[in-house]
Amino acid sequence: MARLNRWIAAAIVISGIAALSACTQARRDEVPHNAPAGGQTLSEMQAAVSDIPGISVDIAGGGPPNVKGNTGYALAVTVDPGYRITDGPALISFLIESAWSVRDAYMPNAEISVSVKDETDSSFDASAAASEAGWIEPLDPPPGGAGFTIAAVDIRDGSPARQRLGDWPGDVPAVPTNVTAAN
Amino acid sequence: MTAIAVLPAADSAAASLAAADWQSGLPAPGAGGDGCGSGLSGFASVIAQFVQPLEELLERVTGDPAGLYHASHTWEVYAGDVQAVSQTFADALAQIQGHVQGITAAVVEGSLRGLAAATHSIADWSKVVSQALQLCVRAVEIMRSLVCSGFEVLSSAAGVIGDVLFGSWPWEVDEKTQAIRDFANNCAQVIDDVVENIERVLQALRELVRLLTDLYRAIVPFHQDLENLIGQLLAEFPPGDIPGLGGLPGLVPDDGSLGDTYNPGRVPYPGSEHVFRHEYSQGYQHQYDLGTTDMTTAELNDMLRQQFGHVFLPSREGDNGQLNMQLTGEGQIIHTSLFGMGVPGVTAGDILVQQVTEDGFVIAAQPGHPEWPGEVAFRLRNVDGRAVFEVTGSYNDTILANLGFDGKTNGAYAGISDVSIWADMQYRLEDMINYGPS
Repeated sequence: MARLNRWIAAAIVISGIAALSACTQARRDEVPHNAPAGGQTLSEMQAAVSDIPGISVDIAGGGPPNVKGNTGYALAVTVDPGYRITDGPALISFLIESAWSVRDAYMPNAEISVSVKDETDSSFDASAAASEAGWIEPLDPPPGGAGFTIAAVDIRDGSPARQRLGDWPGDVPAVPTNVTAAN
Repeated sequence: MTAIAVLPAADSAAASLAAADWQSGLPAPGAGGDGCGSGLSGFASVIAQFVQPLEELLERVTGDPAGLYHASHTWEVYAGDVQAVSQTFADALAQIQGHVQGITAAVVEGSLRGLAAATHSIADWSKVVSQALQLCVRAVEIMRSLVCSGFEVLSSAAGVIGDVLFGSWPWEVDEKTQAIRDFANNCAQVIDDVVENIERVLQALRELVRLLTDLYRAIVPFHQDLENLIGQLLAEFPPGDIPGLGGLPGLVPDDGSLGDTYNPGRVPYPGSEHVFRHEYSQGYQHQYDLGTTDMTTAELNDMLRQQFGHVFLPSREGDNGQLNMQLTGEGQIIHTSLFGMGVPGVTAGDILVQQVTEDGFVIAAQPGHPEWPGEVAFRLRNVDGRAVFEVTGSYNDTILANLGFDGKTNGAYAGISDVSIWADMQYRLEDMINYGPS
């Protein structure tokens, strides 16, 4: 029976791709996107985050929902050599609120994550910073992980983070000062 | 059916490659070959010039699968290098545009365009052949005659696909559903014949599907345009409109028999360091025995990291661009696709390497990936002299649940993940452990 089940599963693969595209199309219409006003544009957000000295931020996401109907952002922060993060909670909050404020994209409905790569200071923990800022529950950091950590914030409907963020697109947060410093 | 355009320069170069020294190390044809009968039909008749060498290879390599594997691996690496050269030409073209004028610009740009296109096609062709060689290894070792049967089945099904790709447009939904039915029925017939070996058959059939996909990539220079067109075409069909298949997930139990798990927690492998960053409601866990080995866990994982592009199937792209990729560490972004099909959000997307441990690694899908949000942990160990490969996925809902299928779908999805992706990685790891990377 188990073998038959595996064959059935394989057969589903054959039909799956066909239906996946159609599903994606349907999901796109259900998620708010391209708000006429409020917030900021993606390019304005990119310009704002680049004002923070000592880090570079790659922004992925904001596109149409995937086949599961999910969309959101993954922000990848790289700390420049010679710099360190001095106020993790403020930096994490700024980035999450910035992503929520982008109006010329799809409204995040699943997750906004912030990863931080700091090869010179492996003690920084993005998850701990997000927890301290109240975005997620405290989590034990994974063993190892020298210099690379992630804070993944659940922003599904009804989640605490979603309630905290309010209406979409959110207000544009002020660029924080003193969240990084030269070593 | 209209003619298929093949770049003459690439075809010529590919023929030269096929006659090159790599074959000299192979043994004389074995005596035990039973061939693929009278050859292939349907779509295969169109691509006979490409398929025929594969049949001949089947005859040549029965005596030395290890030698064949090494040859194919070397060729794969070479194909990746060719791809890099193609990209170099393309980059050079982008850089010089606007810096040269008049006829000089026309000559230089024309030359670079030709070189880039030719090398790209050569790389694709090489990749196809090298992977066909690996398929031959599998065929020789496991069930050669059944693979030939699979070829027949798939070439028949591909006949319809060929009509879609190269024949009249648009493809009617009735034809599409009938093609799927026929394909399923034909495959079922093959499988009925060899029920005791069903898992191996599924593996071989799936590799053949990929091979045919790659063949079509290799011989059709404008394959991306076709894929885009296919994506648009598929979007026209609403979920659940494929008769006879809508109830399939309901036939699959959600009792863990297919590796499905529920509330799996953040620690996929107690005793190891892998950690998920979220707690999810569903998941799957598959374990594969790769056979006896004298490699330590550290050696196995070093091999996995060094040969990552060769064994991590989701990273296989149609343009061969990630073939020689290594698993470099946490924070690495890897583009992935299903069967090399590049339909964003549907069959393709990025993953993030979020943790590398002594005995494996953990990845997370990124926004735009069809599985996002979700995480997968991999573990590769030596357990009492046997190499054991484990894959654990974790997510809140399956993609099947969004296709209009009723009821629980995690059992079916767990089975799909097993037969469509991870079992393939199992066999590639197994071959590399047995024969070693070249």
